[in-house]
Amino acid sequence: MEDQEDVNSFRNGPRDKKEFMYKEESDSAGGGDSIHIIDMNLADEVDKLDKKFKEPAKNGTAKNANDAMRTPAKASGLNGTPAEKPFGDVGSTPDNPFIIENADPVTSDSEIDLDAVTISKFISKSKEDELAGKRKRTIPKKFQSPYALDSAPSVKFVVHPQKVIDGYIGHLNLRVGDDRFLCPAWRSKFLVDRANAGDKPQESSKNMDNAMVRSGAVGRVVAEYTVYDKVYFPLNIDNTHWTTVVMHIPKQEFQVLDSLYPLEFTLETVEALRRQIAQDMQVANEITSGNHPDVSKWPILEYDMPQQHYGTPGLPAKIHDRLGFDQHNCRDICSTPGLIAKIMAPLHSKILIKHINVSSWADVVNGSLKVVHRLIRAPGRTGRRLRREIASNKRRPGLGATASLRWRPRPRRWRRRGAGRNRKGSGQGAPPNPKNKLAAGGAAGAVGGECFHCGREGHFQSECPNEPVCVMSSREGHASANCPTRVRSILLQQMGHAITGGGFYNIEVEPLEGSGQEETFEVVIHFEVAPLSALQLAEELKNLLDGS
Amino acid sequence: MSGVTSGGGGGDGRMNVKVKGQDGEEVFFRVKGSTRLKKLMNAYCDHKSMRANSFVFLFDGHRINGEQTPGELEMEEGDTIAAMLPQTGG
Repeated sequence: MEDQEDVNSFRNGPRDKKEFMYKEESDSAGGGDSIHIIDMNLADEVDKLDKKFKEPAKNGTAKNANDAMRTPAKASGLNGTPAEKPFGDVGSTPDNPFIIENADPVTSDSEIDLDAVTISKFISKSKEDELAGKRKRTIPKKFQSPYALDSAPSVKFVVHPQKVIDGYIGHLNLRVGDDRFLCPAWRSKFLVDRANAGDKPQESSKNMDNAMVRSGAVGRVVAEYTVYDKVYFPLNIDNTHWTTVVMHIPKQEFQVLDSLYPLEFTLETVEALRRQIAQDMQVANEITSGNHPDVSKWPILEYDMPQQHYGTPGLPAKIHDRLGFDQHNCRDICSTPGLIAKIMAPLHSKILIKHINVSSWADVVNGSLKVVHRLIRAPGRTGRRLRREIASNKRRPGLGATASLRWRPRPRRWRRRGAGRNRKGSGQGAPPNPKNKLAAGGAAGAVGGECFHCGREGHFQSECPNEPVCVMSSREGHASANCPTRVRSILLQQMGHAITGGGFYNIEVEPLEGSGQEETFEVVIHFEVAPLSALQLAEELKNLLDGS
Repeated sequence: MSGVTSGGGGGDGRMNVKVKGQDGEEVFFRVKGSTRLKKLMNAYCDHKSMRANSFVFLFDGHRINGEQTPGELEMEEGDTIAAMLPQTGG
């Protein structure tokens, strides 16, 4: 029961989120789809929100939070106009796209700005062929890539947030951007999403001028796609890998520069990108009477790149190598929001499912599972939490930013016996602190206060002389938590997994503590596609369960 | 920057804009043309129970600055803002 609640409180986020006034509750509830209108014009809403904006601005920690909103300086940097700011020696503000307006370079340098630091570190390293041991590169002998840059040879990244990609692009733009346009990372994602969803921007209701101003497509075509011969798109594949697509206008082709995946993995995404660019061009042709080429038939070609050994798909293996048996590491990994999701990313990536037969992917997935295995086995709270999370099977662990495995103190609930779950009761939520006791001395009884321990009126739990009373069985002598009538919830434990061609793997789990009661076990074996005979299965299952 | 009702578009009139998440879920906001968009952004992040800077907001492919207003961006009734979660990869 308690555990259950705990998990729920995770899923739903903090309880006290009631910022919004939904316009019509009935509408949103009845429609089946969750459409709410949040009215930003309500008076107290505005006040509340205003206050919220001002508060974070005061303390220093919110600096980074604000940076995210200040992007548009990036636009000036990326549109080819040279940055006014002098370029620092280590590139500490390489036209840092995240600081604009009143953030003058001096203050932004002196402050601890995580983004800037990360970027500068990254850029200073990028001059070398090897990225500080994070990745080894080998230059293939057969073919020298036409895009080898002298100052910054890689357009590929290790595991880095998008901001870094954008920051790096800003940097590249200043250094090498005189013959190519480097598209911000968000844009490619946007284009691909739009192509996949088949969205079209809303038509403007105004005149032609207005339509031109409004249409992002025109802006993109005129100011970005057609300015230079080459347009570079950093493209994210399935949230596990970054690759680069070059639209080469003189050659009329799309070039894919990928350090990890063969073209077949990325083709779909690139095609979506091409589709959307073609559509943008078409829109621009309609509105501006320009004569932009139809790119929808341009070939998509793969070019050779220096290949990486460790990308995100290799991350699990690497973590596993370095993890050792240190439980602090395990704790840190579990408490870093999103890291587990990243480790498990190969497991639920579409690419894996599509290319299940590629053996290198099996290795990657194996690495993922090994890491998780080790995390699960971690001693102490970390392992317990993770095991419970997996066993409860509510969702994939670690997915999403809110769903981190960070330990949170369980909120203490002061529940009055017999009062049900009525949260509104005034005296109920408050712990019986001494002040209350004095003030409410006799009144407590009148309100209906009773001891949480024994259920009798007239005293508080802290001074209760009696035996505890169980709420569940209404008997004295034991607390509800230890009540023999408590039914053990059904527990689902993952015992192992199999990879095509790779056999079965065992995940070690703690044996369930015997409760003396009759317990039944059922085994669910689920397979997607299995070229497997019953005999083989039985054989493999024996391996999985250690011969038992 | 404070509540300028620049250039036609929204002006001070109210409009409904929708914010479309990565999962395709749409949340509708009613904003004034002169409201700075960071108000909307924060409200959306709150709505999703995410930290304030966890989304990036794009209007027609261009990233929105919190200081801008719908009026400046020439938004109109029913326009869509895309909310993006960070992408990762190696």
